[in-house]
Amino acid sequence: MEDLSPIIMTCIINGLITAMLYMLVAVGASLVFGILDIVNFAHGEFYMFGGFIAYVLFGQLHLNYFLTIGIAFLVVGTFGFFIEKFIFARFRRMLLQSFIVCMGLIWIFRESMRFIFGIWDKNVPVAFKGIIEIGKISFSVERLVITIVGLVLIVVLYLFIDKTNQGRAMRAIAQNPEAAALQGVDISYISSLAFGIGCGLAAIAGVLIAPLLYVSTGMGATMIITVFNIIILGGLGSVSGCLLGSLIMGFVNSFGGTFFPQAVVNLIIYMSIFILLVIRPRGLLGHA
Amino acid sequence: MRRQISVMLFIVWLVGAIFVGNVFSETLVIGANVPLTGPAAQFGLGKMRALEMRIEEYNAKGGLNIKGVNYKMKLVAYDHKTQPGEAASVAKKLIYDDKTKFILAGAVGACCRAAETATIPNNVMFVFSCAGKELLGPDKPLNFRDSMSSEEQCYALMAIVKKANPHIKTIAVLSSNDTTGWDSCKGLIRAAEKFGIKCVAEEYFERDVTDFHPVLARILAKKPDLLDNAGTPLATGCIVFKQAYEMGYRGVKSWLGCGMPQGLVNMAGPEASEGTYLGSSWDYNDPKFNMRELTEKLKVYKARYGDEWDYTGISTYASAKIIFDSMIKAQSLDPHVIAQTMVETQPHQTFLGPYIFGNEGYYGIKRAGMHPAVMGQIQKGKMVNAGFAIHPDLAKLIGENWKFPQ
Repeated sequence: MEDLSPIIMTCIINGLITAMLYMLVAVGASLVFGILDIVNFAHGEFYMFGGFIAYVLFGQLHLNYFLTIGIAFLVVGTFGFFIEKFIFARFRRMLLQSFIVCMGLIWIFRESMRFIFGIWDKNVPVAFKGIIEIGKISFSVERLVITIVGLVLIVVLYLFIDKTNQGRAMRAIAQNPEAAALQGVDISYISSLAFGIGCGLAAIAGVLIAPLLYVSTGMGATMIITVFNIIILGGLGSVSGCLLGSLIMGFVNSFGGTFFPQAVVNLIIYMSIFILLVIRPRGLLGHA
Repeated sequence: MRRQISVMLFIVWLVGAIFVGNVFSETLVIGANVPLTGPAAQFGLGKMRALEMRIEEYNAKGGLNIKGVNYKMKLVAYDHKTQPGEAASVAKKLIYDDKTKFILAGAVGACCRAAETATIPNNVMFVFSCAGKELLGPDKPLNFRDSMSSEEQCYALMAIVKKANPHIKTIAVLSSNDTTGWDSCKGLIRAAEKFGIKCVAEEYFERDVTDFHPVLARILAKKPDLLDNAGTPLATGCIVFKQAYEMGYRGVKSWLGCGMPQGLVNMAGPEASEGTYLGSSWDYNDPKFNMRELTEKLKVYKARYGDEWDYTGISTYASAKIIFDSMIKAQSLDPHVIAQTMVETQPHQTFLGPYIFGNEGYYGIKRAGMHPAVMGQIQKGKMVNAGFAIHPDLAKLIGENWKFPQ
């Protein structure tokens, strides 16, 4: 009988790595919904911005990779902050209006990047060369770095939300915006800050994925569908639900894609989400 | 008297102008239904530009003179965005709004299948590069393929790979889940069997997939000696080889449908791309496989567009000449008459070498473009020619011993 252990180990490692990437993008979108009550369909475009920042700074100008990550977070995060402040602020808690705004932003962002960078996909060189071989399993050093960076960022985000004043303010707004305002929380500033942090995290994910794949103006569109599957699965507005949803999606894609055709995997994912929405509409860890 | 002379001179001039065809000229619309954006844009842009250049050349010489009328050609190109629905709409727009009878550039299997639902009932000549047995046939005599598909190339590729790597006994093929992918994979499997190579894995993926670890885990568990990317688009195929390398695959690699070798090296990386045999690649400057006109035209393309010209675009440039010359030979703009002329007057001398439309044994009609097939290989980050082969149908017309001019 064929030895499946190397395949299973590869699936586990790959699932974990995939989950980390998904989580970085999804947590930002979940944070935005939890605090601003809007579903940011343009979230994938900030992930795309991160990819292009990696292409320019790391790929073309040969800046240090970790510096590139930091710059991507700051630049895209700041951009996101002002996008919320001057555009989304008017549509907080208005789902339909904010959806229309998102559609407009998607087209503007995508076409602008296409105009600046052209239509061709861009290659970003590998940041960390080398292959790690453990028995019959091998994976790249690059992927190991992604996993470590992802874990670090999750911990940092958790500490930020749990321990800092801004984090507590975000939780307060998510629970009850009116009460939070009465307690002296600057709703406008904290909302913009949350949006900016979400966008910054998505940009980091874009920088991390760039050397593994390629950078294109359409990369956000592919990611956003997965992100919303995760958010629905985990629960809208729940960061811990986001983490759980990312792990589930990462492993389903990894194991499912290895043993079944992709069409079957997609069927499993969407049927599961459908059943979950019927049984538990708020998601696995979503708030009632 | 003076008035009479003036009138006579005017009549002489008018008659001369009519017979020379300089006074009356018409516009002949040439259509292109191609992807100009998205992952398949590499195919569409090259083809559109090929038509653009060819049309400019003919128009500069006065256009096409058909039965005394000069036709200036006008290119109308639309982006089908790799969406079959859009391709069908574009085809209808070209036929009903732009009034063309010639759509001479098409790409992406599903999109060509969608477009032909409009071209076939309207007797429009449709020339495309995508693979797919069902795209050619006696029931669609105006469909032509201008570049060699897997069915025509894979025999040559397997011959060259097996000769250089006699130990190869198994092959794994994977490609995009569309007409081009299916036919590429099936053609490779058939050709491989002729050389005693057994297929151990045949996988298809959707075009927007970027993580190939799951499917590669399944494939690499079968321990193939040879891994082929078949008809996968450039960016996606590069990720496949990159990720296969990461997962420890060090066997022989080939890529039937890769027409941009430098793109492979740049995007997959030098380690992952090293040694890959390429089915649609040709170092045009190699003196052993050189057609001078082609080398010159590549420089012109690079200077004008700043890009590498991929094989499907080059073959469109070659086939456009055949079609326009056939219009002149046949003195007709009837697509059926032109199609007949194209086949009856072959082989055609092009910058790809002797070129025919053949492979009637597989498709039931002579509509598959063929020329001497040069196969490349990536060695130390550069593409070099590994050899060439001639399809049996072409060999019947030009001889088995045809060689590139030295």
